[in-house]
Amino acid sequence: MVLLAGAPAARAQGAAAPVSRADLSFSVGWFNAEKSELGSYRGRNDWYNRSLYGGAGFGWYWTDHLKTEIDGGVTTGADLFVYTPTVIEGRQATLYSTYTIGTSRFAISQQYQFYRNVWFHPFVSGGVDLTWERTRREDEVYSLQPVRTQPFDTRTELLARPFATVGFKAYFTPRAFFRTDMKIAFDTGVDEALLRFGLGVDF
Amino acid sequence: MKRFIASLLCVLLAAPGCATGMTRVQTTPRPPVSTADPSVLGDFARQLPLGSRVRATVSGNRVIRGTLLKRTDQALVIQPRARIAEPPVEVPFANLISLEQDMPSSNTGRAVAIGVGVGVGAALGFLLLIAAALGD
Repeated sequence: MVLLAGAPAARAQGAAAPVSRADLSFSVGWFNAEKSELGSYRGRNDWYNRSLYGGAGFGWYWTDHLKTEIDGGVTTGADLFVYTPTVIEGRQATLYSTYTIGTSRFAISQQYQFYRNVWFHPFVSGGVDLTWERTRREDEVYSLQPVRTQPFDTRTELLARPFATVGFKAYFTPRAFFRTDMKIAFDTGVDEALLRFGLGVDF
Repeated sequence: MKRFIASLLCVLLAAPGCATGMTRVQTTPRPPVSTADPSVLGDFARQLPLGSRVRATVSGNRVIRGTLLKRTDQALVIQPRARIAEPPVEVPFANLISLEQDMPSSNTGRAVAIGVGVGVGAALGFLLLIAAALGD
C-alpha cells in the first residue's frame, strides 16, 4: 500500500509525462504452489507443479519508471495425492486422498521499471495478491473390506498474500513487447511461484 | 519442488549464454572531452559532421545519445535515439560535461541477437509449460 501511495506522489511532483501512458498484456505461465498443510505422507515434495496459468494485466504509468498494475488470471486444476495410514474398526487401513486444486486470482502492484524509452526494460514490483482457491477432495479407503469412496464438497478459500515480481519487457516494435516475469507469493515462507510469458502493447 | 528448482536452474544457467550472444562489438570511440575548458568542447563539436552519432553527458550526469542535427557557437542540437521518437534537444556547451562520438554497433547483429534471445526464451518457456502439463 505504501508503494501504491507513492505513485500519485511521484506524479504530483511534476514529473514529465511518461513516454507511454498505459500497457496491456496477456500471459501464460507455469504455476507452482506449496501445500504442506494437506498431509505429510507425500514424500519430501510439498509442492504441486503441474498447473498452467492464463491471465491478463493492465498497467498505468505515473512516470517513466513507476507503474501501477492490476492483473487477473486463472490456473488449471492440478491433482495432488495424499495417503494416510489409519485404523478403522481396529483394522489397519490406508486413506488415499485426491485433492484437485485450482485458483482464480487478482493482484494489484506497484512496479519500478528501469531505463527510459529503450528497447529492453527490466522491472521489479511488489503488491498484494487475492487468490480464490478451490479445493475438491475425494477419499478412498483401502482395508480388508471393499474399497469405499467418499467425496467431499468443493471448498473455496480466499487468501490475501504479498508478492514480489522480477522480470523484463523486450520490445520488438516501438509499442509491442514480449514480457516475462517470475512472481513469488509469500505466506509463512515462499508459498507460490509463477513463471509467466506473454505479449503486450503500450498505449 | 525439486523439479521446479531443477527447471528454474536450467533457465538461469541458459540465460547467460543468451546474453553472451548479445555482446556488442567494442570499437574504439574517440575519448571523452572534459569541460575543463569549454572552448575545447566547441572545437571538438565543430569537427563532428552533422548526422554523426554522439554521446553527450550534461549537468546532473544525464546522458543523451543521439544524432547531431545542428551546432552553433553556443549549443548543440541532438536528436535523441530512442524507441519512441522524441523532439530534438538543445544542449548548451555550458551544460556539457563531456562529449564523444558514439560508434554505432551493428544493428543487424543486435537485432539478430535480440531475436535469438527472445526466441530461446520463448522456446524455454514453451518447454516449461509442456513440463508442467506432463510432469510429476
